[in-house]
Amino acid sequence: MNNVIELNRVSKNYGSSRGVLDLNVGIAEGQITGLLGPNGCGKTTLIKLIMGLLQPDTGEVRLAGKAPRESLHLVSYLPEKTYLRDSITMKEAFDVFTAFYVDFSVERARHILSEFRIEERIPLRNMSKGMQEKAQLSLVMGRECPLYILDEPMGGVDPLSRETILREILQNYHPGSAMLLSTHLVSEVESIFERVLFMDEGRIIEDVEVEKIRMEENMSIDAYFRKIYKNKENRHVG
Amino acid sequence: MSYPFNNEQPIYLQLIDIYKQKFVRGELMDGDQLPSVREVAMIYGVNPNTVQKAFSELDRDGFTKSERTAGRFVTLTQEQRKVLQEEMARQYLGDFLDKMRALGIDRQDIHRMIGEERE
Repeated sequence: MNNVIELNRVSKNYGSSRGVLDLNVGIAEGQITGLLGPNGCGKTTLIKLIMGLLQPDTGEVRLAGKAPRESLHLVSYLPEKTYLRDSITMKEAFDVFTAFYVDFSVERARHILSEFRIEERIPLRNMSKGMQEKAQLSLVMGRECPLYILDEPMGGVDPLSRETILREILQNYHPGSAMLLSTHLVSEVESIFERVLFMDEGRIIEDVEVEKIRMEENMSIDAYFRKIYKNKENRHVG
Repeated sequence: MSYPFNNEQPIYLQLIDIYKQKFVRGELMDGDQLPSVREVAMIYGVNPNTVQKAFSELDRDGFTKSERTAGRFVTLTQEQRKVLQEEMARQYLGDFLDKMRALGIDRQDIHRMIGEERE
């Protein structure tokens, strides 16, 4: 299987304690990978490095075997914070995406939006935070790409909406594609992961297959997650 | 979407169990088509590769057969269905008895409780 994303010894230092250190990871085709860890652990930095929005100090990032800048058209990206202006309606956003991306299907995006029960003619600023996230997800999942990167796609939505969002992600995700999804809501999302990366203080501290954890530890990923970070805390105290 | 899984056990094993139950109940009979991997992933909200793993296992154990383009079909005679039913019932019964023993309840009390439950 080919790796869509490859990071070799990637470090990025912001001068403060934030940043990432010596990241080595490959994400294969056809895999949904979870990126987990507490706030400020480096998840968004890792994603920005993959997207070429940040340049590593040392090491190398490859996207579909090339520099990120040359492969960005292969990625459908949901950023943590929106880049859309707040006066835009989804109807307008669909036009922009149609013009920008050959892999964007307006029919599919429209279908997803209607599943979320959102009107095309409402400007973004008149939507609740949860509606805005869903609206943007319809754009991201409306594209047919080898790689989807979703940075906290369920941050501001209620539990019922999370289910709808998960279902839309699964329905519109292409079996051969890769997906990297960052979240702090482990128990709600763990069933869609095949593999998870745990980050802490800028490092990837664990890289595990989820069914293996369930099999060998008799633990949910959520429980495993809690165990890892609790152990770390105890070490700090002791 | 209802989520019937316990996240502390491998989901693919629970999926296999759900499908075997459907075979035993006769909800899916010999020759019936199974939904696609993607549909099942969506219905339950689980990873498509996990569903694929469960289905491959059902294929390997001879409960289903995947035909290249047409889909995946149940291959289970009436006799095989009975055998599977018996086998699963015994397994569930064993699990149940283990739990009762863990509570220190003896066989006689189990019988009594089942009797009371029926009324």
